[in-house]
Amino acid sequence: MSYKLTSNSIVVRIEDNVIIPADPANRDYAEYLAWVVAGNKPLPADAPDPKITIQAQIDQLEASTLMNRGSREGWIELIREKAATLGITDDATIAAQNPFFAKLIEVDNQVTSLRKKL
Amino acid sequence: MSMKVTGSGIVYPSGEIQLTPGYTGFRNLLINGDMPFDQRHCGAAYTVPTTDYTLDRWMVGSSVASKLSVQRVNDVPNGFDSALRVSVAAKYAPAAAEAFTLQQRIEGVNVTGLAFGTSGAMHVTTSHWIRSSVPGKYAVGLTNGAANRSIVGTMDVTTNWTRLAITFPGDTAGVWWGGNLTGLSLRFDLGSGANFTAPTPGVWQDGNYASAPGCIQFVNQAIGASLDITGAQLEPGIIATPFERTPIDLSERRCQRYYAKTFPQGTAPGRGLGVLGALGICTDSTPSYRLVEWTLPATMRSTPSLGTYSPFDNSINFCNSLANATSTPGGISVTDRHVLLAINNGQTMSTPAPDAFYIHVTADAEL
Repeated sequence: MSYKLTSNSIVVRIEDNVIIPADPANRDYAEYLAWVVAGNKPLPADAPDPKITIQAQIDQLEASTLMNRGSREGWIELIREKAATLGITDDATIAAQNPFFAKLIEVDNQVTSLRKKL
Repeated sequence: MSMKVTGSGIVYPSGEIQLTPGYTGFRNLLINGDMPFDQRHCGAAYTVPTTDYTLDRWMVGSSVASKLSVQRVNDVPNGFDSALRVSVAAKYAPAAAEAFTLQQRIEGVNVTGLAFGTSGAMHVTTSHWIRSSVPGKYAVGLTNGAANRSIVGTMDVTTNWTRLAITFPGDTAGVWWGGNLTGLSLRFDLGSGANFTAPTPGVWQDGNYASAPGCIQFVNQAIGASLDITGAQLEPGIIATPFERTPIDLSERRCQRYYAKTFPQGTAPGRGLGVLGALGICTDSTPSYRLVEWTLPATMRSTPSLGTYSPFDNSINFCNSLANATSTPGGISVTDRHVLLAINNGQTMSTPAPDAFYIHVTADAEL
């Protein structure tokens, strides 16, 4: 039996790629701990992949608006169209009058920025 | 004739008396005692490599690999649909320090009421339908979670289905774990060496004993010898009441506290078995990571270990619809109720995008 560390507390058992969480009540993790106590050493973790962190940040941002990308972009366009009928075409002006739009634009800008890094 | 409650307990129409008023439901401490659930192998014979789970909740403990095989069969006594069959895969004479057992480990929280380790420890009774192609004396017993307290009883098993029962006194000593650890184990001996043979059967003693003097060493019988069990029950009290029937959906949910899978219930986990039930996500961006999530069907005993399987390819752990992605998914978040996995779709995509990515997962929180 052999194991490999990951960038978080999870351990992977190499023989069957089983993903083992760091829960002392998990029998696989208990076996892993016993294996370590017996003097064995797991393989080191791969270098952390920044893409996973970035994707998690995107997911967290989108969760903060309680809507996915499609819904967010749809709302932004809808509000812009309504504002345009009133002669307002500047996002900053719309945002100043509409807190919901302001939140959507803020998240959208951040997500767009993060997506460029993926 | 109807059931009556008397000063002695509950009197059943058959005349049996249950001396444990209050235990009219959920009295069977075992799960999957009538053996309908076999999520890992779905009725296929499984030669146990070393200690491993077979039918749901039933574990074979083997000191030596590949000597025993387990299968769910439908050759059963009246009133049952399934039985667990242990067969000898390779005749083997266990050494003194080797043991072979069939056991079910019961979660501590479910046996706290037995008050083991105290002066008020309750009697328990195990009952089961059993037969063997090798008739004779077999051992069945109990141990604590640390396997340093044990008691062993014996029973005469024949080649015909027979319901046998053994009552054990409660253990007033020892340390008995509660919570989500192993509180109590029921073990059928399948051939154990001298170190595991109880010097005095029928009494609690320090040590890890699974067998008794004069018992058949099942694993040392001819290849193909079989031992069949169903209707297994362990209950408080000194009477073996009729096997407790539970609704199939409830039984399934109880099994899923310890093992769950995305595969259909009738499909044994494996690679290349198709997308039915698989977790999936459709994406049009590359390169990127995407998360797939799985809300577990029951709150599991502990944070589970995850097995991953590609629905398309027999050699990789997830893939897209072209079966050409080769990464192993990364565990992002695993709890006793929910799983998030990261899938890397940056390497390969269908052309043109979008593309769908799939993965099957198993979750194991067995004791």
